[in-house]
Amino acid sequence: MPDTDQPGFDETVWMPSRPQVRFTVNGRSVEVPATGTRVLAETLRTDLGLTGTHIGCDTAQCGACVVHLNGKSVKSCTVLTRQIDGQDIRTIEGLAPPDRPTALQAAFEDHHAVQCGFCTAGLIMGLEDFLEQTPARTDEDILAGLKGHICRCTGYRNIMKAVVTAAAASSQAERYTDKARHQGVGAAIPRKEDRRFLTGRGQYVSDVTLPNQAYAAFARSPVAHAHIRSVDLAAARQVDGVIDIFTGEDVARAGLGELWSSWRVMSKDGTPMRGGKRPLLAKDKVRFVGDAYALVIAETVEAAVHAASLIIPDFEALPAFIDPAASMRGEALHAEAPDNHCFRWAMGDEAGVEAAFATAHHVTEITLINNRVIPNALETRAAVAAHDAARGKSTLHTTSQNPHMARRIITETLGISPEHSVRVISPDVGGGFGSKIFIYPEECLSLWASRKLDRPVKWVATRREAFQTDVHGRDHRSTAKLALDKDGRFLALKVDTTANLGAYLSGFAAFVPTFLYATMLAGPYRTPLIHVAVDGVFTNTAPVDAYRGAGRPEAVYLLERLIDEAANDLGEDPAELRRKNLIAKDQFPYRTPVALEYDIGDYEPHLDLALQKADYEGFEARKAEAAKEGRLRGIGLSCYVEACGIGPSALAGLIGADVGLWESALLRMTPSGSLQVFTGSHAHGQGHETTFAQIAADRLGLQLSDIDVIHGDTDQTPVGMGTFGSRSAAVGGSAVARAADKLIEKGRTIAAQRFGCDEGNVVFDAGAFICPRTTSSLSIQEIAKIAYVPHIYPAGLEPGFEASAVFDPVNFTYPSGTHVCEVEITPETGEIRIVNFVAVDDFGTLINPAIVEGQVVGGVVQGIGQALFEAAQYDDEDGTLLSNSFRSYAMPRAADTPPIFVDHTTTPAPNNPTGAKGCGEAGAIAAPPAIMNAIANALGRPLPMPATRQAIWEACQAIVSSKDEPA
Amino acid sequence: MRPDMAFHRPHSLAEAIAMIDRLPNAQLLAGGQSLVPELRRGDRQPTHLVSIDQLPELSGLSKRGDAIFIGATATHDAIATSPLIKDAFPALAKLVGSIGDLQVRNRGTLGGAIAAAAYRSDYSAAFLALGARVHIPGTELPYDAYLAQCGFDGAPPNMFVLGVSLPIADHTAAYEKISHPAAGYAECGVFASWSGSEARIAVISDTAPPFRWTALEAELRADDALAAVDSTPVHPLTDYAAELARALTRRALKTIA
Repeated sequence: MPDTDQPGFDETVWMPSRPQVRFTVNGRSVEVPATGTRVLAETLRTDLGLTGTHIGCDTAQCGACVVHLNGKSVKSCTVLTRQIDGQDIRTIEGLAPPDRPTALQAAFEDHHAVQCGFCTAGLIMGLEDFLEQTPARTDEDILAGLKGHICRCTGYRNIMKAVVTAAAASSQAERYTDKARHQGVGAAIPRKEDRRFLTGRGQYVSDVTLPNQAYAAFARSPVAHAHIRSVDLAAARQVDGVIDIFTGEDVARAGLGELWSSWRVMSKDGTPMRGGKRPLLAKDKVRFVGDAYALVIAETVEAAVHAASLIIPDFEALPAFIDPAASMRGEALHAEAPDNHCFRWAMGDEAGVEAAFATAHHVTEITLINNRVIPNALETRAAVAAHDAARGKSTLHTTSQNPHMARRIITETLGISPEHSVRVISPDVGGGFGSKIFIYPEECLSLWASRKLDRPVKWVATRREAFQTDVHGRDHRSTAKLALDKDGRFLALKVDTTANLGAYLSGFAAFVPTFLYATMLAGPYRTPLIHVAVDGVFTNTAPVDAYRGAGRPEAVYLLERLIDEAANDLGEDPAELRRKNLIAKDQFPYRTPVALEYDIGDYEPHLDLALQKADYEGFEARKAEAAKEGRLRGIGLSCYVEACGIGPSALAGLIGADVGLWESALLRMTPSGSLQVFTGSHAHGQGHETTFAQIAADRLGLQLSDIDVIHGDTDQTPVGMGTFGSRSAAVGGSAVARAADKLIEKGRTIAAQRFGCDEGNVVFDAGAFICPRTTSSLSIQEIAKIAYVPHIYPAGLEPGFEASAVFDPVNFTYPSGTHVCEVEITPETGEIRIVNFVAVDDFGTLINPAIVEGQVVGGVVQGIGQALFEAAQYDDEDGTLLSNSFRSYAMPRAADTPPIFVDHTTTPAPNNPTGAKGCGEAGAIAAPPAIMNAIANALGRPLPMPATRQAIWEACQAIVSSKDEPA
Repeated sequence: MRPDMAFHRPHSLAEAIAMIDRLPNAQLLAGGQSLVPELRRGDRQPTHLVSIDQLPELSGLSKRGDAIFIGATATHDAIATSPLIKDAFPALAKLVGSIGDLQVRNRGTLGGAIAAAAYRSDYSAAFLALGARVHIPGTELPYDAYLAQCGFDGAPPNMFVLGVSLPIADHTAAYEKISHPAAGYAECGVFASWSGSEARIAVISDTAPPFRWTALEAELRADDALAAVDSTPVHPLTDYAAELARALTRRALKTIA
């Protein structure tokens, strides 16, 4: 046993250890301050500038902060800086030089195991240690090795492939090299952006540090609904380092505006929607847990947070309502909406639908809830704002999916004019899934405070703030009825939905549950009559807005559950019932009864291919086999049509938008022959730096290495609409294609003069202008040089070699697909395993099939999350958000993901030059109904989402007891 | 602002024990996997932190007579990969290899796990079944007695766990668990061991303190072990928690059968 005798210690020597520690990091000896609860992750990022180590949570779950401590991987958010005196640290920056990646880093590139990049460096550091420590590497081992990491984008499957490759230490011979292969449209090449993420060289907003910067922190309401009688700042102002504190009164007095919807929706009685305007700081009332009512600016983040915790509000509690049904009868959140209704909206032929139901052979009716989910991009929202009084110009670094829209709304709200006196930069952004489309008070106030105090101001949300204040998704309660004739043909659909809007009306919140939802309820089917009524209701919860799919997942889940129930009622096979109702290939363009015109599609091929790949025929045999082991098998499918690339602008105006829906591109070839592609689209994991370069490379015959895609900076790209609704390839990519075509035309003029032939005779092929008569040839890069050295040059033609285009789509694009899911349930525990998942989609032309597959798999895994794990839970009584951390809100981890088989059918989009339709949201749209239909098939009864282990077990118990009852 | 916590790095185990005894509101710190997040949240606000992960006396594993002693600051990884443990207690090695994740196992320690949250620790299932003894300055106590002193939130603040000893005995054993989908701790875990004449079944659950399923242990001497699992009450568990315990017990018994 250890010796535990206590000799006489002199307690006076037990002085606190000095507030500095010395250790080595990446081989360099450093000395840094070490006080309080500062952790290694903060020290690395703040004191040492090693920003490749990220912070994604505050509960040691996500693994974004993994570094090596004395050669072993640790989460640097759980190591106090004070503990590492004399130790040896290695971070991602010290792992390998960026131009000589490790086998694992190379395998990540090859297998598209990176999307937004925020979790990537932590994954690499963790997995390098795993590969070092684990000699045998079965799939099970690899899943165990990934246990400490959360990736919200990739769905983990490509990460697993990368680990297998790295573990096998396979040669690099098969790797793509820049010159070796086709690089244009259709090439599954690695992403240009990955190297910087894999080596910790990305730059996210929270990585930005400006000289003399101050820090913001917010006082947030712990109660869901209350009048604010007063706010006592006295104690907070005494905190060392506090610069200033602002309340709702202060921002109102400063004349700052309120945030509200970017869309105007009319109720069916013709009255405009009402209520839900959000002051930048709550002034008279707080309306949800997390509602900010005061802002502290201080010299350090610790001082700001501490002072915010000392602000004492005097709240007069009001009844709080989480459930919209209760809210409709309760205390009004907003005076403008006394019954908490923002709108009562409807679409479709109500009388026709009623008549069809009156005479229908059969009616199937369901009620269902689309569960509220929390987006949880791994990077939390952040802002770094600075003002240059001499130039009269401010810069806001912010985590936005659409920096131009952010600039417009933020300047309008703050009363800053002109708009372009603010530069918005959204550099690398760590995932969004919709939540970073919208404008929130914190980003506005960071900019406002930096201008008021003439100091840079930085704010980074904690994970708990992200849970409480990022817009949540879904949250519908619906009843739906389907009328069928005696042959199983759909006659009419009637849907009544209550959409929970949360406490304030966020940017697209009125649009998502109305136009983006109701118009999708035709699906791929020939339902002639549809009526949809949607009530938008305020509750004392976080605002709800677009989350991956935005209205479309809600529609598809409802429709596909309803059809499965109808198939059950009629004793028909669910696949065959769908098949007989599909819109036929020769019916396009097809006008739906809910306002859309599907331009092109061919649905039966993806249904057939999905059923074949899923071996639908062989299911009964597999079910019988599983039953022998005491397990329940189920198979389910979903067919969908979605609408992407929203447009044209004229339509947006008609349905209440205050913006156009085009996208811009500027292509500039420099005298040295490199091409800059400026785009108003924004990438936060989607890989535009690669796909947009591929579009340009394809058209212009260039190598990808010659092309730089530049985005996310309002001073570099003059105009743009950003990324949402799977619009980037179809709209932004089309602008790139159009601009490339214009560049070719200019080149043709220059070449014709050089060749001495007619422009009409100059052929452009594979990057070269050719005169067929003389066989003279000049590469586009040679032409660019001529354009900048225009000594012998067409008269009247401007020098320089660039072209811009703005693409305004004539219609949405309409991706479609069929997903099939097979599950196996262990009745004794309720454990569920997805044993097979097949996704067959028609996205039109694929620009980079590997990126598309990554989007599908990532979307499917978020769909698995909604179906099996995720639920934003509020306490019904007091409105506290119970699921407020990665410890309490379950999301899929690597071990929860099945292999996902991805395939495609193709009908190229007819109305844009890329032929692409959009692929970012399909997985999150199609997966939940396929999974829930499979579960219903296994259990013989439907379950609500999320079908947790315990919920499945309870259903199994009910099955057992109903079987025990005498017939 | 509140005064900063004092941070101590004692030079010997004896000094560390003296610090815990004499400094007001002192808290031991080793791997910090539970404690650091608690400190960050302000859930614990000690005046003195006493860091012990640098003390060699506490980090080793050794064979002492007919027992194996595991020091309190041995990391989970060191325990899971220790030839001593793999040889004498292979099921324990596997259990420890399933705690948390690789990063938690690299940093987290035995002492931290059973001092911070013994009720939820996988170790508790194994230690109850294997007859472990917890060593504290001046004495040692059986694991069930140690658990009785722990609340849901962990060991009493001044209890200084030095390590755990496990009596070596011929046995076969298996551990099965089902983890919480977000937090990763075992919602239920069952450690079953069989010595040839005696069965021990220890259960951890997120609905009750760890316990030995003694009613079942008595039944398991009979021939049809699995039938007894179905028919024996799992006090104090009810409903789903009880059924999880039954299912995991069946799996564990099948593994060691």
